[in-house]
Amino acid sequence: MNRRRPDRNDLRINRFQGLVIIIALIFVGRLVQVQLIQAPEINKVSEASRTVPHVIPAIRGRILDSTGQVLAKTVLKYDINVAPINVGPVTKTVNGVKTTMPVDQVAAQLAGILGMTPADVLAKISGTTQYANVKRGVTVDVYAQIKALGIPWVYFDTVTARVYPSGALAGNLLGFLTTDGTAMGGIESMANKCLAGVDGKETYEKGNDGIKIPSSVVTTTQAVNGHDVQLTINADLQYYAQQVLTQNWSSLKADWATAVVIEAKTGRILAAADAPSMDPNDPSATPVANRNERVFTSQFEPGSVIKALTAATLIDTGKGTPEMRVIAPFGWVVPGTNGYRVTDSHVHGNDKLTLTGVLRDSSNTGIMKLGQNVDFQTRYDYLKKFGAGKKTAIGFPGETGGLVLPSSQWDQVKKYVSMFGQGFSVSPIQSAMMYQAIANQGVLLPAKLIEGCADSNGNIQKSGIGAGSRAISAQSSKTVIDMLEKVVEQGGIGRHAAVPGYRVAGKTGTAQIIDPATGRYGYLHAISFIGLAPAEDPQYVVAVTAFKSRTVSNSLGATPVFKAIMQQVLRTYRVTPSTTKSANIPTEWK
Amino acid sequence: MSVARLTNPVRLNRPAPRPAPVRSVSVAGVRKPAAVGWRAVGKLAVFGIIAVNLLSLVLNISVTQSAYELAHLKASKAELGTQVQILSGQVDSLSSQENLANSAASLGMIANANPVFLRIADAKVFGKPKEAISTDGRVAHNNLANAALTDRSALTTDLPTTSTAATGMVTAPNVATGVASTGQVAFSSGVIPASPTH
Repeated sequence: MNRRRPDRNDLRINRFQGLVIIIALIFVGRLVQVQLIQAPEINKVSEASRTVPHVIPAIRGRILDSTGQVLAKTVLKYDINVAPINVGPVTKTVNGVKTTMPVDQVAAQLAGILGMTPADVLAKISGTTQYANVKRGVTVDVYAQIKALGIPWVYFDTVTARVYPSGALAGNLLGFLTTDGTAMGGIESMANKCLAGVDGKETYEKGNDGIKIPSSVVTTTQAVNGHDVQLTINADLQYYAQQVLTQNWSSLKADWATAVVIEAKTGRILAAADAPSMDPNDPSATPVANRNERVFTSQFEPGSVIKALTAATLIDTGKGTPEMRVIAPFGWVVPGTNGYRVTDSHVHGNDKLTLTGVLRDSSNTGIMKLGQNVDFQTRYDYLKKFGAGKKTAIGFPGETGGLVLPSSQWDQVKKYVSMFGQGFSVSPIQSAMMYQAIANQGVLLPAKLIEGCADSNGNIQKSGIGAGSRAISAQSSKTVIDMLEKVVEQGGIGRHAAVPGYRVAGKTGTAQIIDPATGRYGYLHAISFIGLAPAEDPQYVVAVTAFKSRTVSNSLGATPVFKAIMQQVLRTYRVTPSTTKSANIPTEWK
Repeated sequence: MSVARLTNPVRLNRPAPRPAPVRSVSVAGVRKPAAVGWRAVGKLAVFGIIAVNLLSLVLNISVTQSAYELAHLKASKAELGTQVQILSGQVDSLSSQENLANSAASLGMIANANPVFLRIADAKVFGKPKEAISTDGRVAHNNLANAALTDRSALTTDLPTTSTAATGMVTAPNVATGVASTGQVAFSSGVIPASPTH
C-alpha cells in the first residue's frame, strides 16, 4: 500500500491546526482559571460594582381623629444632590432654539427655589467629587420645581417625612418624629408598635444608564407598612378648645394652661388642649418644656376641686347630707396641730352654711369641719378610689400618676388640708377623671385616648369600653351633682360657668403652688374649673386649668374657658337643652 | 464509522478498476460521503447555534425593551405620585382648621361666643342672642401655628374684602406660617377645580 508523502500544504494545515489547538487550550485554561478558580472572587467584585442595594422604606401609619381626619401622615421628601465632577453649563432646546446656561446662572435658579444664596449653592456644587448634598428633605413641590429645570447633574434621593396637616392642633398630644424617624413622645411613641412598619430591601443589577438589567438577580424583601391609629379626639373640638385656651392663657399671662373634654359614660377623651402648643411640623420652634402634653405629664396640688370628693365621701359613707349644717369661720386652727391656721380665700364672718353651701362658697374651714366626720383613712381610701396617685390606663409617655404619699406618712395638717386639695398632687387628666366618676353614676372608667389600630385591611379594630371601678354609689353621685349645680347656679365665681339652656354642675379650684426655692406656698395659683353637663344626665366633663395665672388669681380666669368649651361640646354633639330644674337644696341656714 | 458503512456499503465491496487512481479515489470514495455527513451535521449545528442565539438576541432585545418601558412607566408613576402628593398636601392645607379659620377671618366672619339654642318642641330660645362683635371670649383669628400650611392664594378665588371693615373686626396676625407652593397644578382637563374655602 502506497503512502502519499505529506506535501507542504498538509504540513501547513497540520501546523495551523496545532496552533489553533494550542491557542484553544490556552483559552480553555484561562477559562478554567477564570470560571472555576477565580470565579467566586471575580463574581464578588463584579456584583459589588453592578448591584445596587436599595432600601424600600416602609410607610408609617397615619394618626386619625375620631372622624377620620388625618392628623399625621408620612409623605415623601427629597434630598437634592449633585455630582460636582459633572457640573457644567446646562444646554436646553426651547422652541427649537438651543441655549446654554452657565453654571452660576443655574446655581442662582437652584438657590431661588431652595431658599439659599447662589454663593451657598455654588460652594456646594463645586469640586471633583461624585457626590454633594445641596439640601435635604425638601418638599414635593420644591422637588417638582427643581426637576422641571432639567439639570442633568442634579439628582434626587427620596426620603420619608412626617407631616402634621393640622399643625399645632393636638400637636403636644401627637408628639413628633426626629429627622431619623425616631418617635419623640405623644401618640407617635405610645402607638409606635402599630404605626411603625418594617423597611424592605431590594438588590438588583444595573447598567451604565442606571436601568435595571433584565433577568438580573433581584433579591427583594417587601416593606411592611405601618397601620393607622385612630384617636378618640375630635379635631374640630380640639381646635376650638385650643383656640379658646390659647387666648385665655395669653390674657392670664399664665405659665401654661390645659383643657380636657371627656365623654362621661365611656371615658373617651374628646379633646386634650395645651397652651402654649407645639407645631410638630417644626418642634424646634417650641421650647422643650412646652413640647410635652401637660394634660398627662404635669402635676400640681388640685385645690378646691377636691372638695367635691370630700363631699362625696361624706355622702357615700352616710356621714353627711347636702343639708348638714356648719358654721364656717374665716379662719380655723387645725385640731391636733401647733396652731396651724387655715383661712378661706375671702374674708367673711361665721357663715352658717350647709354642705352644699360650703361647696358653693368653696369654704376651706367649712369643708374641714364637716369632713372630719369621716376618719382620715376612709377619706384617703376614697381619694384612691377616685384615681389619685395612680396613672390612668392610657399609659401616655411621661405620664405622671401624681404624688400621694402612703397614708402612714401624712401628718396632721395634711390629713385636714387634703380635704380641700392640698398635700397631694394630681395631673389634669386625673382630676378630670375624678369628675368623670361623679358624672358616670359613681363609676370611674379607664380613660381612653386611642380607639384602635387598623388591621391589614385598614379597618380600625376598636376596643370597647374598659371595666370601671366604683368610687361611690349611683345615688351618692346624683346627690353630689345636685350640690355642684348650686356652685354654678349661685356661686360668685361658679355662675360664670353657666351655659344658658343647660343644667351645669361644677366646682372652682384655686390652688396654692409651692415655690421650690423657699419650700413655701408662693403668691401665684393654679386656677381650675371642672364641670359636667347636662346635670340631669351627665354626658360630658370639661376640666380647665391655668398654672400660675398672673392677671386673675382665682377661678374666674378659668370659668370663661369652661363655658365656651362646654357650649361647643353640647353644640357639637347636639345635646338637647335641659327640661328639668335643679334640686331644691338649701345652702345656708339661720 | 457507522455512518460510512451505512452511506455507501456497495462501493466498499466493489474492486477498484485501476490500481493507480484507486488509492486516491478509494480514499476519496470512502471519505467523501462521511465528510459530507459531518459537514451537514456541522452546518446544522452552526445554523442551530446561530438561530438559537438570534432567537435569544431577539428575546433579550424584547425583554430589554420591556425593561425600558417598565422604567418609563415607573417614572410616570412616580411623576403622578408627585402630583398626587402635591395636590394632597394642598387639600390638607385647604381643609385644615387653621386655614379655615384664617379664611373665615379674612372674609369678616367671627365665631360667636354667644350661641343660642332653640328647642323645637316648644320653640323656646335658650341664651341671649348677641351680635358677634367685641364679645368677651371671642376668638376671631387663628391662634395655632401650622408650618405645613401652603400658600392657598393660587387655588382660591380672590376674597372680597369690602365686608371686613364693616364689621369692625380687628385683623389679627396670622400665626400660621405659609410656605410657597408651586401654584396651580394643571391636568389635561385644565386647572384643578379646587374647592373654595368660603
